[in-house]
Formats: sequence, C-alpha cells, structure tokens
Amino acid sequence: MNDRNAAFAGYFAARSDAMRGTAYLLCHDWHRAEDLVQTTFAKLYVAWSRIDRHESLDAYTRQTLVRTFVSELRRGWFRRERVSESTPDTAGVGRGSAEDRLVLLEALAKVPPRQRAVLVLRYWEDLSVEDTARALRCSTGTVKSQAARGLRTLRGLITPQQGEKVR
Amino acid sequence: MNEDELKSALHDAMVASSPPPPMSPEAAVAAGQAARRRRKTAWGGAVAGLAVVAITVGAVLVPQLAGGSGEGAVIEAGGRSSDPRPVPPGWSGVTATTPPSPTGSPAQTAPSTASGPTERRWPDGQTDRTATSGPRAEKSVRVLNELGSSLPPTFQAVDKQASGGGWSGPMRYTQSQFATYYGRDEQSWEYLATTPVVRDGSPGVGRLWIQVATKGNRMSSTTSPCQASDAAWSIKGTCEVVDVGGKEVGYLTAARGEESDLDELAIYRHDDGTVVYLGQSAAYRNTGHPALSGQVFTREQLAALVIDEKFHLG
Repeated sequence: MNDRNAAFAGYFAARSDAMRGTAYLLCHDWHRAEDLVQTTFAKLYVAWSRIDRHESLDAYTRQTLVRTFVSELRRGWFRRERVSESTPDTAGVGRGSAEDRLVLLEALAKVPPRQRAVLVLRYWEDLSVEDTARALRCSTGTVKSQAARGLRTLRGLITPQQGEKVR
Repeated sequence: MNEDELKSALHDAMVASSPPPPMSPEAAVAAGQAARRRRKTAWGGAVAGLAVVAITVGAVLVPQLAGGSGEGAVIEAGGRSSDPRPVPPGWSGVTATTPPSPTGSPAQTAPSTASGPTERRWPDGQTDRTATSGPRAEKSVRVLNELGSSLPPTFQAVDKQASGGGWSGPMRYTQSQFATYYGRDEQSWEYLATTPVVRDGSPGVGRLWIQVATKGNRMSSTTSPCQASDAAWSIKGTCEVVDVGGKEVGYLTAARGEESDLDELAIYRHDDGTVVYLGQSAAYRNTGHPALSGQVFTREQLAALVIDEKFHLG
C-alpha cells in the first residue's frame, strides 16, 4: 500500500465510524448510512491529493457526506426513505430505555430531510450556525429557521408523555 | 424538548445503538481507486472527443485557408496531415493531441470493463448517482424546457427565489440520476425537473414537477398506472384510472388535510416500462410565495400531457 493509500486508509479507519453515525441519524438506516459513507469516502479519495490542509479533512468529509445525502434526496421524493406510520407501543417504557431511543430516532426520521440535516449538524455534530450553513450551502438565516422548525416538528412528533421518557 | 435535551437524547440514542461491524479500510481504498479510475476514463474520453473535434476542424480549415478545395488533404491516423501544399505564413494549424497508436490506428478510449460490484456501481465514470454534465444531464434540462413550452396561454415557467418559508436552494432545477442496471448491463435512469409557474397579472406562484423513469425501472412491471402511484408516497390521496384516447392514465389527487408536495399527479406507463410522473400544485409550498388561484392544467390537459411522446425518454 503506497503512502497515499496508507494515509487514506488510516483516516478512514479513524473517522468512518463517526461519519457512519452521522449518516445513520440522517437516514435512519445502517445499510444506507454505509452507502453514504462509502460514496463520501470515494469522493474524498479522488480529491485526496488536492486537499492541502489535511487538518480540515473532517469538515470537508462531513460537508461531502451531508451534500451527498441532500443530493440523493433530490433524486426524487418518491425515492426517499419510508418511515412507519405509527410509533412503537411505549406503554410501560422506563426512562432512558431502548424503546425511548427508538421513539426519538423514528421521530427524527419523520422530520423533513433538510430540517433533519440541520438538526443533526447542529445538535449531533455540534457545528456552528455558520459551519452548518456552509455545509448545506444555504444562509445562516435559513439554518436558524430550519433548526427552529425542525425542533418544533420533532416536538410535535413526540407526544408529551414520550417526550418525558426521551429526556 | 429544547436544544440541550435534543443533544443529550441524540447522544444517548447513538451510544446505545448497535451499529454494524466497522467498515473495511481496504474496501474503502479499493472503492476510492475505482472512483478515480472512472474519473480518469471519463476525462480520457473527453480528451479523445476534443481531439476528434480538433482533427475534424483541421480537416475543414486547413484546406480552406490554403486556398484549395480540400482535395488531396489527407488526415492520417493520429491527426497528422499529409497535405503537400504549402502552409500560409503564420498559420500554425490545428494540433491534435492524441498520439497515434503503435499500430497506426486511432487511439481509442478503453471501454469500462469493471467487473466487481463496486467497480460497476456508478456508470460512465461517475462518482455518484447524479450526472452533472453530458447528454444525460442535458436530458432533464430538455424535459424542463419541454414542460415549460407546454403551458396554457398566460402561464409562464420562470425561475424564482424563495422568500422565506424554510425553502433552501433553487426553486427551478433539474436532475438526471442513474437508477439501476437491468437486463445485460442496460441502464435505467430518472430525469427530474421542477419549476415555479406564474400567471399574467397574478402574484401567485404554482409548481410543476415531472419525473421520467426510463425502461427497466422498478415500476416497469406494474399492470396499472395506479400501482405505480404506490411509490409516490409523499402525495397522499386517491388514485383512479382515467382513459385518454384509449390509454390508461393514473390520476392521483391529494386528500384534503394532508400536506403533500403536489395537488395532483398524473402517471403513465409506456408499453416498454417507461413511467412518466407529471404533477402540479397551485402553491409552491414552503417558499413563502402566495399560491395561484387555480391549477395550471385542467385535469384533462394534465392527463393528456403525461402520455405525450416528448416525455418518453430512453
């Protein structure tokens, strides 16, 4: 394995799990998350020699991942992921249980994709409003409004009782 | 749930999730190398195409500038001219960049002979599903133009900017994307176009939307156009089959109270399996613009347009 491949493989080994986690939050499907990560890293490999500032690789990779996700959505709304019509039965669910987490992830999957991308970048990746706007190629105002709208949507999808449990 | 609670809940959810085993770095390197090879192949094809153009231009221009009729000019393989006539002063000619092959025949771009599943994942040197340039990309632009030229009088397809409402990105766009392989390495593609529509004397903005899924798509085997509507899950409503000149068209109308991207969607499946989805909405939702007072097309017009051969793409 030459230097380029070794460096790329090292970076992949270090960061692919984190990127896959972000991808999973975006699409709520591990298989599709791995597809997104593979596509993202293939693009990164092609651009590898052009990226001088390797310290900013994470930002570049994250941006590619999110843009790939958004681009896939533009393929047509009927190819977007389907989500179940009903939330799981939560009767008797204790605080912090696996069912609670399922409620949150399923509710997140029902949030419109762009709002979801903003929520994931802002509150999972902890990106600033400016960095989120850069990754999504939109204005900071749009990020703020999408974040507020996304949170509102998420609250609407999680009933008060479920919300208490999710907390 | 506030921002901090969401952060905490996301963290808890991901910590407790059960991800699959780590992905293989070796496979990632292989996928990256394959993507780079495809990119190089695509560039090689583009360079070869330019060389062909250069040779052709040279074949036309050199004789003309030499004052002759063109007779006697021979372009050899590799772009070298054997025209014995003198070249005008200052004329440097057209230089072909493609070197001759050892056999003297024109150099050819190697066809994609990828064999593994990763190698053949995206066609024609693409690094992802979307074609951003070339004939495939242009097809969806043509679809958009065809749609714009099909409007009733007083309506125009225009580009607009969202004025709030949470919409980000352009309101008028096209996309050409590879869908799947079928048969013996045949490619099925999807061509999508959407545009705002305005009417003379009205501040309202409506929306037209079209997607063509070519032969080999996953709805090819449906026996009724309304079965194809099962895939259109984001418009919720009822579908009925209407007859348009002896052809069956599925007509989906959004149910009241349901938030759908479109108000109406006409679906037609051609005999070869190509499926055309043509939708309209009096409002372009989430863009902050007011809605048109009515639909752009009547029900009959939309159903007639969806079967038009100009949207029957390969």
